[in-house]
Amino acid sequence: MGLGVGIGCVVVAGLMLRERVARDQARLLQAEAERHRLEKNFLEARLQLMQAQVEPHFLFNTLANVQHLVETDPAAAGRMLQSLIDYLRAALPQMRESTTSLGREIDMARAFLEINRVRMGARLDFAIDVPEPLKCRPFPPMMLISLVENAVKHGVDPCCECGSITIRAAEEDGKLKVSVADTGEGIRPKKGGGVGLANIRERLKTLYGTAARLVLEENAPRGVVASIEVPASS
Amino acid sequence: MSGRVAAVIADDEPLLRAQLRSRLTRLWPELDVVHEMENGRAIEEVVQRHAPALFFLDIHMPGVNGLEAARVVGKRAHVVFVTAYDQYAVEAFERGAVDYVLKPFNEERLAVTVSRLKERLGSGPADIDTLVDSLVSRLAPRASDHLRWIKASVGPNVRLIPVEEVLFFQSDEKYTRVVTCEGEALIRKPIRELLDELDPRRFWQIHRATIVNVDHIASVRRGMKDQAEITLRDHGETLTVSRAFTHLFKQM
Repeated sequence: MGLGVGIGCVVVAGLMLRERVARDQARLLQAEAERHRLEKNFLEARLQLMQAQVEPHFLFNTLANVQHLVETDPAAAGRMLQSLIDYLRAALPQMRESTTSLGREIDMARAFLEINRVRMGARLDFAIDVPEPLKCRPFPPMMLISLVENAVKHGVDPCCECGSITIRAAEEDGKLKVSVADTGEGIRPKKGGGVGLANIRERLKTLYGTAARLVLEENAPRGVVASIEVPASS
Repeated sequence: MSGRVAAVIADDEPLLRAQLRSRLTRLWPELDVVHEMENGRAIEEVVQRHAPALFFLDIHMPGVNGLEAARVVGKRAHVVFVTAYDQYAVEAFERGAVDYVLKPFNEERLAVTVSRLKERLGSGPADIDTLVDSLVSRLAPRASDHLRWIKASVGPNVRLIPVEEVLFFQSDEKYTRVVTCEGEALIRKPIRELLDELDPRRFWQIHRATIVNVDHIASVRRGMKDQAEITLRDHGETLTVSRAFTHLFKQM
C-alpha cells in the first residue's frame, strides 16, 4: 500500500516534470517566433520607408504650375520651385536620412503645403504652430509628411469647398505629441486609405515598442485629427 | 472649319486652367473658351447653357471628376482629357479615339491635338462610353463594401480605428467592446450588425458574443467541453471559441 502510494507519487511527479519541460519548450518557441516576427517587421518597415515614392502625379502637376508661373509671375515661379526643391531634398529616398529632427520634418511639410496652396488656390489654407525649442527634438522621418499628405489628399482635396490644415506640436507627460488637423471631408466608415497609416504604426512599434502611438480622431465640426506620440527626449 | 469654336475648360487647379486657356488661344485663334469649371458638378447645366463644341476635362477633380463629367457630356460635344500622369490612362487613350493632353503642356504636342480636333469637329463626337468605363474601373477601384473604420467615443473625442488594428469585438451588455493593442473602446453597434459589415475573410465569429480578427491570432488550443481557446499576439486576453464555431479551426 505504502509502496503503491510512493510509486504513484513518483509517476505523478514525473508526469508533472514532463509537462513543465514541454511548457517551457513551448514558451521558448513562442518567444523565438515573436523575435523573428519583430525582426521581419523591422525589415519590412525599413523597406517601406525606402520605397516611399514621390508621386509622379504630384510632381508633374507642380511642374505644370511652375511652367505657367514662369510666364506670368516669375517671382512666384521662383518661390514655388524653391518649395519643390526643399520638398524633394527631404522626400527623395536617396536624400533621406534615417534620423531627423522635428524641425526638418516640419520644413518638409511646410514646403509641401506651400506647393499645394499655390496649386489649389483659395481652397487650401494652413497654419503651423510648433514651439521653437521642440524643433531640435529627434523625430522619425517621413511620418509627419505622410499625415499631411493624407490631410490634403483624403481631407481637403475631395471637398469642393475650402479647408485648412494645422500642424501642432507639444510636450505633455514626457511625450512629444505632433498632430495634423484638417477641416476636410472626414472619414467615411467604408473608405480605404489606411496603408500609409498602417505603415506608420508598424514603424512606431519597431522604433519605440508600446511607448509610441498614432491616434486618429474626428475633428470638430468636421475633418480628422491625426497625432503621433513618441517619448520626449531632449 | 470656319467661324468660332466654343470650348469649356475644367480643372481644379486655377493656374492650370489659365495656362491651358492661354496656350489654346495662342494656337487656335478661332477658339473661344466660353466657360471655366473647377470640377464637374455643374456639367449638365454648362452643356445646356453654353452648348460648347469642345470640353477639356481634367481627369482628377474633386466632387465630379473628368471621367464622370465626360459620361454626362456623352455625344453632345467632343471631349479632350487632361492628365498629369497616369500610365493606365495614357495607354487607354493611345488605343482609343479620344484626345488627351499631358500636363505640363508641351506646345508641339498641344498643336498636334489642336489640328486633330479641327479635323474631328466636322464629324460627330466619338462614342467614349466604353473607354470611360474601362478608365473608371482602372483609376478608381470601387469603394470597399466592407467596414474599414470603427468610430468610437473615447472621452469627449470620436476615435477613428482602422479595422486592421482591431484584435476582437465582444458584446458587453448594451455595448460592444472594440479591443486593440493600445486599449479598448465601446461602440453601440451590436455583434450581428458588425458581422454583416466586416470583411469575412479577416473577421470570424467564434462565439455568440465574439468576433476575432484572425490576423492577430497567436494560437488556438483545444479546451474544455468541445470548446477551444484563442490567444492573441500583443494582448493578454484569452478568447473562447464555442462549440458551434470550433470547426473553423479544425486541421486541414
